[in-house]
Amino acid sequence: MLDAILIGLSNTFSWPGILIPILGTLLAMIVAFLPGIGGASIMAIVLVLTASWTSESVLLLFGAMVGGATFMGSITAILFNIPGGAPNAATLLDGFPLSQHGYPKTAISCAATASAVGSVIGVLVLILLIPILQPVIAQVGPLERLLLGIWGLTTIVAVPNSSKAKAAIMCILGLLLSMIGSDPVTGNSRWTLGSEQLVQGIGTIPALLGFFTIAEIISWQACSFESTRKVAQSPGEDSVKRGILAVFQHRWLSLRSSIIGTLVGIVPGVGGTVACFIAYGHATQSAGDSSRFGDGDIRGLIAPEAAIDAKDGGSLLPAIAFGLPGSEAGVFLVTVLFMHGMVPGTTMLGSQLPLTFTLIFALLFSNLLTSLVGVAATPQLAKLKNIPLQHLTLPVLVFSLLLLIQLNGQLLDITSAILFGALGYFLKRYNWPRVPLVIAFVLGDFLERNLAITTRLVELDRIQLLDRPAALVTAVLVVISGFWMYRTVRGNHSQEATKADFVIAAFSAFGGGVGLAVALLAGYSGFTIAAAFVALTAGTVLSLNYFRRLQSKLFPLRWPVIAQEGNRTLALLLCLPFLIWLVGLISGLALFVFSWLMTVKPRNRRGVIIALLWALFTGVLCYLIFEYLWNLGLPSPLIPFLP
Amino acid sequence: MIRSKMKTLLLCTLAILPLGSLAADISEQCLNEISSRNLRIVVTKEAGGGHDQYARIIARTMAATTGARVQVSNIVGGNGSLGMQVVAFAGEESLTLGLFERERVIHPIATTDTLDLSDFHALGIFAREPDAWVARAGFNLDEYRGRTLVVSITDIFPAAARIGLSAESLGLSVAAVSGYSGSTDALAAILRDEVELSVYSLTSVLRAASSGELAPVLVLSDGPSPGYESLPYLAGPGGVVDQYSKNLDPETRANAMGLARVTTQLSDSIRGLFVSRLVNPNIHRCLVEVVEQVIFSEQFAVAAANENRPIAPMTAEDARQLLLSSYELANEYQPLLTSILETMLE
Repeated sequence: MLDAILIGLSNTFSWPGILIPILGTLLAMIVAFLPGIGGASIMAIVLVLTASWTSESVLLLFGAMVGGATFMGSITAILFNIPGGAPNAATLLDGFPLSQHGYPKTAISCAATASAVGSVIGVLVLILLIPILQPVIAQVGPLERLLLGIWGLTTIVAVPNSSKAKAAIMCILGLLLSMIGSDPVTGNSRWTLGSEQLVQGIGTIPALLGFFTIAEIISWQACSFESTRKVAQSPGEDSVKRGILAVFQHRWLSLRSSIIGTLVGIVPGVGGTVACFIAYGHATQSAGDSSRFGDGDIRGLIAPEAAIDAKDGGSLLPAIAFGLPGSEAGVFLVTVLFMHGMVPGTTMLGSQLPLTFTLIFALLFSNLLTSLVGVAATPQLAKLKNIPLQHLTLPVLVFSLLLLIQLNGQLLDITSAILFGALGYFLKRYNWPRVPLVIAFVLGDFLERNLAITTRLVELDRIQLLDRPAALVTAVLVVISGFWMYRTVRGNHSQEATKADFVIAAFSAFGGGVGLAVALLAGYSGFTIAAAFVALTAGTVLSLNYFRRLQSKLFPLRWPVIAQEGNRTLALLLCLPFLIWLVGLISGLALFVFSWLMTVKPRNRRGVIIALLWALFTGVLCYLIFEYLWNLGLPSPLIPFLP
Repeated sequence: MIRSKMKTLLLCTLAILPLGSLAADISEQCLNEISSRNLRIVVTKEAGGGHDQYARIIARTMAATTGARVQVSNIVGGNGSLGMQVVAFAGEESLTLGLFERERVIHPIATTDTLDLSDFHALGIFAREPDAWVARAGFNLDEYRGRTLVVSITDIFPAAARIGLSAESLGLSVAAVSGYSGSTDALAAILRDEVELSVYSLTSVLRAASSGELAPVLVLSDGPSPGYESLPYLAGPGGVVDQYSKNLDPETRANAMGLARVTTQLSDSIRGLFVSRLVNPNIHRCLVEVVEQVIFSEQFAVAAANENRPIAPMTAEDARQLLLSSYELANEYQPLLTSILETMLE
């Protein structure tokens, strides 16, 4: 194996071969920063262009392209609260508050360093795993994934700096929202209110973008700009060095998160988003004081960043070991392997092992190069944070909406994002934790799917818990997490909060228990979900009723007290889907921009002219984008008098 | 070995190139209509897979043929229904095409999806290949006589024909485990011994089999597949059903042979390009011209062969006839398919 490692190193770092991963990394970084092109599209183009290349060169390029794209999504998450991809949503939970509190350099350099550490540890774990790779991957089935998901859920209640009861309610709400759409097993539509578009469910990206980016924009508008600016001044030292050192100060967290990322990444069908959120949940649970998580705790940035880069390598391994792609990049890798005569499985892990290491080292090099560029560019990137918030809100909002519409060409995504934005804003305003809802939403489909498969396999007598070592290990993790949660609830909260926790926990356990019992006894069915839904909803409603006694503690503000700016912003945003339906996307966005500016600019002639000019600019820009860049084929508006 | 056989299959495919004369040239009016606009091909599967590769080859060829800008969009949600909705409701002037599998538009079994053949015009079929059962290397079908075969499936309703109907013709009992999130997951389930087999297109099965852990068990065709003559096939003389039913009474044998034939007719992986029924008739006519020109072109055949993707182009009219006959056949067998599916999921 050592020979194979040396050949892989030599392929990657020899001259001029090293230019290939450099080119791939830079290409991936640029593409990741530009909306509308997408890593998959560029990989598909490169796939064709490199048909005549040697196997080594192609693997160098693909390894680099996989590694290069990940980190750039974190930059926009940290600076603008816009996740580059779904996994980057875990980064913004603490990354954006850190930069808001005046530590953009620290946050970016910390993310870059954690990514580098994550990728190095990920590669080391992979090298250690290669001899036992095939049996390890084969061990992780639906039962293990179900337990992994439950572990993720048991960690999330500890995430926020607020009541565990509120976290539990948010968690249930997240699970329920994830069930909108279609049953993952039968394909039958569920809770769609008769809407054909809702059959697909609520998209993760629209939900995350709404929940964080749009909610934050409403909050920005709701706050006085002056006070926000004051907050944005660095209260302490904001430096690249501090960010780098933070990763090494929390070295064990970096190590554990990287291992979580690698192992979760290896499992086909799990994905980087789950890995990042599980790492984040683990960080909050293992932290001594978790009170600042969600408000700029650097550990909440280190964990997902280390996991996100560590999982890159892991996600390619099922493709190498079995010819089964475990991710989108894995799909391309399998195609590349076939096009260039490489054989996945025993051959790639045997006689063609040098090629496997070439791929792994290209990935490592790319991750390190991206981090290096990230650290070097930190001072310049951090300056973007100096742009006043009021100048950022509208461009960020329009950019986010365009990003959404480009994803699937579905107007429903805009509506979902805005509704999630409103929900996120209210939750933030009334100090209800958002993270448990998001994690439960992300894990919901994953949990349900694997619950269904597991119950079916139990029914057919195809799996036994005691025969599955990986399941036993995960079950132990769940028990430890549960015990830890019980201990912190007892130790850290007032008597009233503990009672509330107890009520919620009891009803949640009852609901979950009913669902599980029905699933195990009668087999998975729509009835299982209905029973679980009724039990969980009843639990939530009863618990909320109980909470009324604690209203003063749970609702620090009375309902009608909402800042006027936030009110206007919210009203405008809620009108936007209707406006788009009425006059079309381009005209709708232009009118929205005009209305927005009219609410913030002075209402004199100059203000109106400026608003009109910006609205015109937005309309023309959108027209050019839709006409020449994205052909989305959107449905005709009700009043098609404008483009 | 497998790779060289795949090459043979592709060369056989190239042999049908003279059929290109079937496709009419693109009229000047249509070229003017199309060349100045953007076309979009919606793929309902993830980027990088077989559907996506075909779409990108077609997009390149289409761009070169018409001068138009052709974009590929992967819209994956809702088990493919989201992408179908985008195409179906794209508007009458839109040049939004969908790359779908036949099952998505013929619906042999009633589902909650509301879109079907009546919502789309077929513009042409470009690929058709048999499906194949895949299992662990060394799997022996004879060992499962009188026992229940457990299969992993991702999409319920194609499984009814691909697995349920074929198993019925062989007299095998099948239990399905549904919910696997994709072919990777479903195939990995075989490696974990959760299930015995799964079913995908022959090309996909051969790719998965390249690692040596998995192997094709049965090709759902009515004769030997070119380049893979040694693989057992389901229907027709010399097929597995023919051999299995030799000792049965004539009526049962005829029934089994008939079911096997229907299975092969309903289970082929057939991929084509579609457009919304709402589209303007002139645009529809032009799109038919363009698609036929593209899928019968040598450029398309060579590009597909370079990426190891088999093709079998078919004109819009032939595609329409094929889909209609599939639709009628599926409707005729719908009660049986539904009951088989219910048994599989019991």
